Amino acid sequence: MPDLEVLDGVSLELQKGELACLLGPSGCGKTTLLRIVAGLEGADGGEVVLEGGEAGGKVSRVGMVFQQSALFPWRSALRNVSFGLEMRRGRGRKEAEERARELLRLVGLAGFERHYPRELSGGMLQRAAIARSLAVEPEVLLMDEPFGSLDAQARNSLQEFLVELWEKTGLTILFVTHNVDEAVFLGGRVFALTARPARVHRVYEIPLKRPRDRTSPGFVGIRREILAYLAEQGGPQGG
Amino acid sequence: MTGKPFPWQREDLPPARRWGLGICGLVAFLGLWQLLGWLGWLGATPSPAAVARAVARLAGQGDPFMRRSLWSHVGASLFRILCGFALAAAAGTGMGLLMGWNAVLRHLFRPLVEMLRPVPPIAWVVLAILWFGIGNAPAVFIVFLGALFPVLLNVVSGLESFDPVLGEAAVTLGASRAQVLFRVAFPSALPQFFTGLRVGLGVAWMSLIAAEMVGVGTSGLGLMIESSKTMWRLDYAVAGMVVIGAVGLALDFAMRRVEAYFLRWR
Repeated sequence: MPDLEVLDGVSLELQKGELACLLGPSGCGKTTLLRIVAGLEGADGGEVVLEGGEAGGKVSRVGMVFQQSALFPWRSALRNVSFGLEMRRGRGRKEAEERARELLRLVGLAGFERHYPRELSGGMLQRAAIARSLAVEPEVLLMDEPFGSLDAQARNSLQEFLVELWEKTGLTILFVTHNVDEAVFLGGRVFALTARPARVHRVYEIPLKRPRDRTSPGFVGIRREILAYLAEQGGPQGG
Repeated sequence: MTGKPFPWQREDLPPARRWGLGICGLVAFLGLWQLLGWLGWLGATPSPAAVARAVARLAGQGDPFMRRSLWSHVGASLFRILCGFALAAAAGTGMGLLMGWNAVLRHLFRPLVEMLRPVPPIAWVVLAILWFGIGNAPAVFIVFLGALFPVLLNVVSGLESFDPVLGEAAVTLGASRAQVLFRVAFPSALPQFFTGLRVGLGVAWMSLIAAEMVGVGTSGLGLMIESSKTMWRLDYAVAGMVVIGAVGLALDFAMRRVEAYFLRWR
């Protein structure tokens, strides 16, 4: 994206162990923001600070889950998950596979170790991708609309799965989505971005207890409020 | 799969029928050819029965020109193709990875490669003999040239069509640039790589036979055909063609099995 001002003075701070959502219209620069945090793209200015150290770079302190699972099709589920460990020196392959086996169990894919990605459903692919990113023990997990290409049922069940996983592991997660329902279901806080150039315009605290009931008055109320705000901002919205 | 596959799609008939049809086609061709022989329309062209007898005689007593059995000719040709092909696969992969890795190398070598590629390997035969003398070495060199370019160009284009998101995923998992190339980009280019190997093997086999006919060595299936011609034994010449076809088919079959194993994830 040459010479296009995509982000302008976006600033957000995550607490350790927080599950936060970044909500904004398609093409507003959410993905660009994540890629900068992940160290995949440079920014014209600004900085990413992770507990005093620089994020991205050689040390994989930042994990990323992509829109498409981006699993390696020639590797089995097990060897996809062990990939990050294999990239490190001085690690035995056996040890890496043992750890990968544990992670697959954690994401509910025990028994699918030897399956290749083409043999897995969309939801299973994303579970495996999450397990793969956890293998290198990132301090922050970035998720770029990871459930966007799933059907509604699979998406809901993956959202519930992610909340459980987060509660079990205490991960710090920044979850990008354009879906208001998803953001309200997952996020402890929801950062609402404006259209290009993106700015964080509003931060919503979601006080509802997890697991959340999508049909409860509190849930619906917050959802209505955010939708009304986004409509006011202009631009088509889903969710 | 929804509905009936269209006729040009693969695997449209059950395997037993496909094999049956293939055999029918072959038998019909041989039958027609033999029929022409019985009708006396073939002239000096040998009939299938004569060719079969020639194959049997070559396999048993050997050829009447060099007193070598068919098997030693097949062995000589196989040895050359395997040596040359292995060298070409290794060199083509190495050069392909270098050209994929580095834009300077890519643009440095591309015009050279594109110019050498359309030159038929057999055209090198004079230089091959000048550099390597007579024997296995020049034949291996011709095979090498035949297989090199298909392998090389397919590795390069396989790397070009690499899905960057796979590389980015690997980077976020801590992979270095070299690890992305060897552990991610190259494996993802395997389907194209195997296409290159199969095309290369076919070109190399044809080039080898041609080189043997021109006389780079003192054995081989190509030489067997050539000496049949000088002695006007057309049955031996056609028998040689049949054996060349059969060995070529077997090589391609073996290559496909290797490919199916390495691409079992598809």
